[in-house]
Amino acid sequence: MSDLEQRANQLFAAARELPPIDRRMLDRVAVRLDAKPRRLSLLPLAAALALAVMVSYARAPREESLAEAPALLPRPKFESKRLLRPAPKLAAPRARPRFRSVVVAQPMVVEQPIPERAMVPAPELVPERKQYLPRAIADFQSEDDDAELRSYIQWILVEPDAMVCR
Amino acid sequence: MVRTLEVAFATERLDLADVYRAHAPSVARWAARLGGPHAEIEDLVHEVFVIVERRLPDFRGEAGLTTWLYRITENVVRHQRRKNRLFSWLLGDRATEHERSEAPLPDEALERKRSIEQVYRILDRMSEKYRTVLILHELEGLSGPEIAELVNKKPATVWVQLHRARALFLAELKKEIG
Repeated sequence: MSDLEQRANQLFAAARELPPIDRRMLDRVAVRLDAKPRRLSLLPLAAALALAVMVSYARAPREESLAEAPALLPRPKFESKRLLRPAPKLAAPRARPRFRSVVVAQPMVVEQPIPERAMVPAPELVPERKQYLPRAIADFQSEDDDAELRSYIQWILVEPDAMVCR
Repeated sequence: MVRTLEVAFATERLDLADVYRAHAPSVARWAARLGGPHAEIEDLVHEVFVIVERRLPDFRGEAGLTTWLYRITENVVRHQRRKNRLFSWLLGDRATEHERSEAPLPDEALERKRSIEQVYRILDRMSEKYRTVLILHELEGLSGPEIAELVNKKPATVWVQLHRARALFLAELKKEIG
């Protein structure tokens, strides 16, 4: 038997010891039972209730019949005084331009005379390249690539490093 | 007295006074057992016999008189416990405060009182059928067939309920002890 069961048995044993039934308590109950008022029959109670309802119904003031409703008189047709006045002339306000042009003051431009360019002296042919000039002119007439041909001619004429600087 | 009652029952002259004289102690004991330490035994016994008086003319003897009285007692105690639970829920524990305010008891009596309160505290957490059979078996000392006759059930049913009730009691006791 586990400790728990032992403890449960101890508790049951303690609770088993009921104090002896009190005889005087039983006598008191017997007296109460003898002195208990017998249950009232519901019949006299219901009869009294019905009588009370009948009396109150008999004494209640009778409800008078409702009087006839007054006849409705014809009412004049409603006319609005506001509508009788002449309507004011409606004039729409002048529409404001949506966009306004803004004039910005421009500074006065004074034309300056363009200075004349100084005359550039004609380039001089490099002597040892003169032999290429006819071929360059022939290529000029046949080729389409003007820029390359122009630089080639320039190289022939003047600049020793034209091809490099271009 | 029982013989007189049997004769009276056989001749259909069952009187409340006779029933009370023969069975009031049993009813008081059942009420004390089922009601627990805080039950008002006097009120319970009075209530039981008020019902007995009202229903005695309709008693046909289909069940034994003891069984009939026990059922009335069980119903009255159950009703009273429900009412007490409602009041304690509504008013807190004021219903049992007068018990605590009594003069201090000697140690042994105090220990016994605590044990009884612990037993009923655990029993009150159990369902009504397990509580009833455990009380009748462990506290009242009735055997399985006696309980079966009293609660109008088969003995096998009572034994099963007793087994489960005891297991439940041990589980709840384990929770309390921790």
